[in-house]
Amino acid sequence: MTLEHLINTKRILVVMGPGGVGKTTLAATLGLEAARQSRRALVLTIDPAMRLADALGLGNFSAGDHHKLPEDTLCRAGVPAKRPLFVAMLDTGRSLTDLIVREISDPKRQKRILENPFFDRLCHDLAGSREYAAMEEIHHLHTRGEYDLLIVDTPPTIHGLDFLEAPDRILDVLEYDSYRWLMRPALLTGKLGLKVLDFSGGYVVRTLSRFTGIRFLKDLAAFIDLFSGLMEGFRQRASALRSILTTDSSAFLLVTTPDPSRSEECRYLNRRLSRRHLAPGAVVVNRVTPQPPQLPAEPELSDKLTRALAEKVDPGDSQAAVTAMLSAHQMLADLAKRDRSRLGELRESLPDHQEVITVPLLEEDVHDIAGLELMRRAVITQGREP
Amino acid sequence: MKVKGNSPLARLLDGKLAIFTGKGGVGKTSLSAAFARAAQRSGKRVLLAEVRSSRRIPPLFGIEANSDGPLGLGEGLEWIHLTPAAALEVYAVRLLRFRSVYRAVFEQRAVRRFLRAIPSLAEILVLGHLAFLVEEKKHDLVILDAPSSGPGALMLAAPREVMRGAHRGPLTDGAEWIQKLLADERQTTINLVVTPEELPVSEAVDLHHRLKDELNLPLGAVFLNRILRDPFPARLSKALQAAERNPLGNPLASSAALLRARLRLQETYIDRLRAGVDLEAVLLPEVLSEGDNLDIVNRLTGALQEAL
Repeated sequence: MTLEHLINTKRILVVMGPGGVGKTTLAATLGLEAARQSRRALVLTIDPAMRLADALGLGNFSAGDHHKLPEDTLCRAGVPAKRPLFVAMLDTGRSLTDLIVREISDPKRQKRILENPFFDRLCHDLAGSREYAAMEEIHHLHTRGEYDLLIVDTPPTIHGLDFLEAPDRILDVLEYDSYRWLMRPALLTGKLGLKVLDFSGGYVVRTLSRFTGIRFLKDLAAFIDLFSGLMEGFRQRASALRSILTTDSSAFLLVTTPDPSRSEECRYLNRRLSRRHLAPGAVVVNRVTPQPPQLPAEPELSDKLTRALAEKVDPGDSQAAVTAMLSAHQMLADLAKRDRSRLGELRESLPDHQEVITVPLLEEDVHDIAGLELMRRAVITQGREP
Repeated sequence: MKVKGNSPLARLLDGKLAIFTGKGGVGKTSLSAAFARAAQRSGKRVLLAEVRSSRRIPPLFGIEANSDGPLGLGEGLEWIHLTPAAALEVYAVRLLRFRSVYRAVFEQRAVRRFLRAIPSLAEILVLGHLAFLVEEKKHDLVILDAPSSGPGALMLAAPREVMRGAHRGPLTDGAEWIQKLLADERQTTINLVVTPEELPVSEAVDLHHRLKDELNLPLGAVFLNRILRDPFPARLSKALQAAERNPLGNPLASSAALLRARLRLQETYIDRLRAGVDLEAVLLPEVLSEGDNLDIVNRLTGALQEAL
């Protein structure tokens, strides 16, 4: 399927891949195509590079707000846009705070959660909390239905954590029920780990407290207790989003570069997706060195060129310059050959029908709208017609 | 930033613990492996540790690992895969003295879940295991292929985070002991790996600031990986210009233009790194030819040995 068609038909596009392959750039590129197709789209980015953020107007912009790029701004940069494009940056802390405020009406309980030190850690430290916040944000935006299309940039995969499974893990970690027998009696007595507890709970808690210290256990238990009322909602939304993501209205794009360690991660993600019976809408391989033009019979070319140059510069220099040019050409040819063979390996490891779209290495890195437009033109119509 | 071959690497080798971090995909794992091999060739007994979810290092040496090690990768070079679960066992059994107590408590599902909710615990455990291995002195040098920038910084910040918590206990004592090792510049170096690209460089600059100024950890060197060689000598600029303009040079000129553009970008990013990272740099060339992992590690080892 072409990216053009995906933009035209989907409601959620999730851009996944290892770090540093250009996920944000691709997400923004797809946003431009949506604006061209007159679809009202939001690009939700996670951690854009500074100059790209500036170009998208996110530079001096507070995370979490939706920033509008009007169509005339886009048109001035060469994009045939018929609609404005909206961009936003995910702010884990703000997303989770908004969530608590939405979900808990009692202001006192709200305050106790937001001020609990473990909430702060949840926002910043806990592995998967970013992915979790992204999940909540997408669910929220999708439900509100303000946009025709959500294009979601995801955090780089770490420790095999992925966007789809992170919500489960967070839920698992915060799961209340399993703590009940462990912590509740202790909380009620107010003397964690002391003799009032039933034997199993008491023994476990006592042993654990030798490991963590008792106050720590108590604070954590209090936090989990505060969170308990929220778990059902968490679970419902996570499962609702999972169903949305597995329907035809959503698609995943896997982004990578020819670099072997990155395509290995890409293959891994692909396996994870197929385990969930999901196939990526396309695999996009960024920064593929283009094959340089074939040279005419080499000695002839270099001799002629050397002689021609010798009329203008020192003959020794002219010889050396031609050698340098040939060696530059060879370097590029080697890089192109290496990329092509790596690309071949990647294709081979993917199912036969899997769409693979390549983006040529450009002379400049993309950090403005004009650059994104160049990339849009390079990728948008690639792929089989649906 | 001075570009020198000798001193930073010598300092890395003289310590007890060398940690490598940097953005994902810049070649940390291959570099850690190559550095381990270079250290082993200089006569050290080396332990190479990795902490990712998959075991990536043994295949770089052409070895298939069926366990988390320790596993010999060659004379004087061992490998281990550190996991929070195994580290928890090492740590808890030491603390509680009895394996049976550990099994009765820590292997319960609910307890496992509970432990996962403790921020920084997984990181502390893995670092604790690493610190045991350093103190054991079975090896002259322990090398850690650490997680990439963000998670790597979280890991290295974990002992401080835990110590900062108000709750004193065995966990904070352990964190203090780990922090002492990490912060000791005679024993530890933390090294950055970077490629001349936008995101890796900006992450390296942030990471450098965070590790040096916020965490006060001892930094070693920055390894600039995959540097494209510049085939255009400056003294030939006039001749090259003429060649690129000559119609005969046409088929070559477009390659030259693309390569020059990439070299200019590379230069920009190296400059940005120099401005933001006050460390000695070791430059490692891009390997152009196709080759398997073994080749890449071999070439990197060669480049490192030369720099030594």
